[in-house]
Amino acid sequence: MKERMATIAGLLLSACVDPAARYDTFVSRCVARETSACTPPIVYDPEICTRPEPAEVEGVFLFTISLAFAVEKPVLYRLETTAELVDDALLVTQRATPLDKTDGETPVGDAFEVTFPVAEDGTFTAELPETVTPAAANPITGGDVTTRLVLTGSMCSTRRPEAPEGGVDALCGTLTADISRPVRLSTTGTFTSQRHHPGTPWPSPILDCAELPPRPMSAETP
Amino acid sequence: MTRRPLLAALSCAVGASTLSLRPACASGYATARFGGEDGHPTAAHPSTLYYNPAALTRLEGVRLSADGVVAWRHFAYHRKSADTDVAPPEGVDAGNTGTSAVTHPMAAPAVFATWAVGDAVLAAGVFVPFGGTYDGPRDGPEGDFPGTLDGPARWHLISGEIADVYYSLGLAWRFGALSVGASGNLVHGRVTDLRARNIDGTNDVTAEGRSLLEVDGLLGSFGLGLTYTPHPTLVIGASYQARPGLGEQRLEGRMKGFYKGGRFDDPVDLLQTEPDVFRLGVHWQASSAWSTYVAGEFVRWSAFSRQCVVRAGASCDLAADGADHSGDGDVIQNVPRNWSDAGAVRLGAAFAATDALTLKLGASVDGDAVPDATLDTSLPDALDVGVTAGLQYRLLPAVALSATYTSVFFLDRDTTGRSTLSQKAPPSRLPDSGGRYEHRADVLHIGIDLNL
Repeated sequence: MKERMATIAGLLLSACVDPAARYDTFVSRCVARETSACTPPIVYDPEICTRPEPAEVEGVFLFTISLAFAVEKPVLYRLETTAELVDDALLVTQRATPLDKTDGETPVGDAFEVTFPVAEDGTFTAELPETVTPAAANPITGGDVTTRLVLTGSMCSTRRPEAPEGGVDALCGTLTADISRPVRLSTTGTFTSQRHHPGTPWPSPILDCAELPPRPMSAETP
Repeated sequence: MTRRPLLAALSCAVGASTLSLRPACASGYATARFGGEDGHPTAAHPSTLYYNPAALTRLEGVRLSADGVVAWRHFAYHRKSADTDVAPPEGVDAGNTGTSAVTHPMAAPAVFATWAVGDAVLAAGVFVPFGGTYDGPRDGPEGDFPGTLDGPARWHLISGEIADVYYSLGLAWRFGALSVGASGNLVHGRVTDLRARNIDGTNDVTAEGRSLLEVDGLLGSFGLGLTYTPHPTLVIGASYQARPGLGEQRLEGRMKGFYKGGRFDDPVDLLQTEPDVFRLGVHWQASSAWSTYVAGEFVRWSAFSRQCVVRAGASCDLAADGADHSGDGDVIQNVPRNWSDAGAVRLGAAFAATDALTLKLGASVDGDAVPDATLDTSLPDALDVGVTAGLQYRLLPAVALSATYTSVFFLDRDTTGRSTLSQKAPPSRLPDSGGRYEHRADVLHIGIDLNL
């Protein structure tokens, strides 16, 4: 019935307007442009190394997620990382607590936990559980967002065993994000984890591997 | 949901094109112009099924009426940069400033039938009292970014439609000098809205995407009316048309989004509340040749406070700053409206030059329902004055043709620096819509009436 009414409506308020066609035209224009803003290239070639020891990856980190549609508005977490060797496999467990979007330090919302293995070459893939990022931690839309993230990265590039604390100071990599609320949207992005050294200021977020300094960021870095 | 390809094909087949907003003679996006100079609450015309069903008792026998409004709207939007604009990369023209100008036509037919039996009159009609369509120009710069081509108005509407099609039945009854009438309306409401959109509500051209909303729904409403005829030459009428949907509407459909790095296509609902309308009019048959009328309407546009897109079945719970307050991330996109009640006054005169030919003149003043803070290119409005001239020619004893032309002059509005849309929190944040709005409309009404 509504289809018939729509037809009548079209006759009554006649218009050759076709917004769907113009939507498709925009999508086509985006896809056609290699340097398009619509499909940002995220190039990541994880560095290969020897897998770190558990003690090297443990600690507290600032975890930064940058999504492709709002690169400059990262979502921040406090990350508490522990690790253990199980049957000669390195298992890393991370407990992530969302941080207030306004100060980047105050915990807000519920923490979640994920455990993932690290390969012999230092690379890893971490499939995070579906989590709700509360509005207070969401600088992009300001509302609650339900997301499932898959992180792909390496624990090599900023490994710094010679540092006083030893271990890994920063992780980085790429991610895919399947957002289920408020809309279902699959996107890509980047992530970083920056170690917080006790007694030092909370790190300023960096967005991706390209912006990581070549050496660890710690003040104690030689 | 509407079957869009069929709709588009049929629409084009009748030779019409596009129009943004009302052509004239009402506030907001009210488009009730059917009936021409007989479209008022005391007219002896079948279109009073909408304007005042009690006035149907002025009709005799069987009446069939079909008419169409063809309008041309000329619209220009001039935008300067705003403080909250996101600066584009150096050397890039983001297409967020400059002028969008468009002229396009619209056609909106209406049909009515009435049958008088004794003191009672039955009526039926199909018409569009609220609505408009728009297809914006492609007058922006064509540069490195794919969205700029759609010009500076694109963040508020590129192409779209809003319409309430009424399928109405009415009954009127005469009690001596007093007549009462009522109508019941099945309303097919629909909204289609394509706009440039970033997920954070800014006009950052480097992240520019698109959102396409397509929703519709079947709604109910009613009309009530009274006429009083204290003297055979004088008719006084008053009427009330309830809100389409009798309150907040829930139009169902889908929203597609294409954003930098991702896209979605989800079932959504649009929540909005459209206005109810009060009308008052007086018709005076001054002599056998001369008649005149004056009519006013008061539209409670203050009900139109927002257009909120939520997940299917969810409610729209927003904080004062426009942030999603649902706790579940249910609000996808919200357009703050915060319109104000508005009125309109029309007056006209008819002179029967011969038994067959009647000349008609009219004038109208329409209020402005949209505040500076939320005025945007999707539904602009301004105080306007319309001047109408036309004629009715009785081709045969039972057949009359009518045609009127109305020129509508809108006051220019400059809201530069007054838009508050960019100060909202997502998902209510939109780019600053301030700018200079200029429009004018030419409206041709043609009708045929059969008195059987």
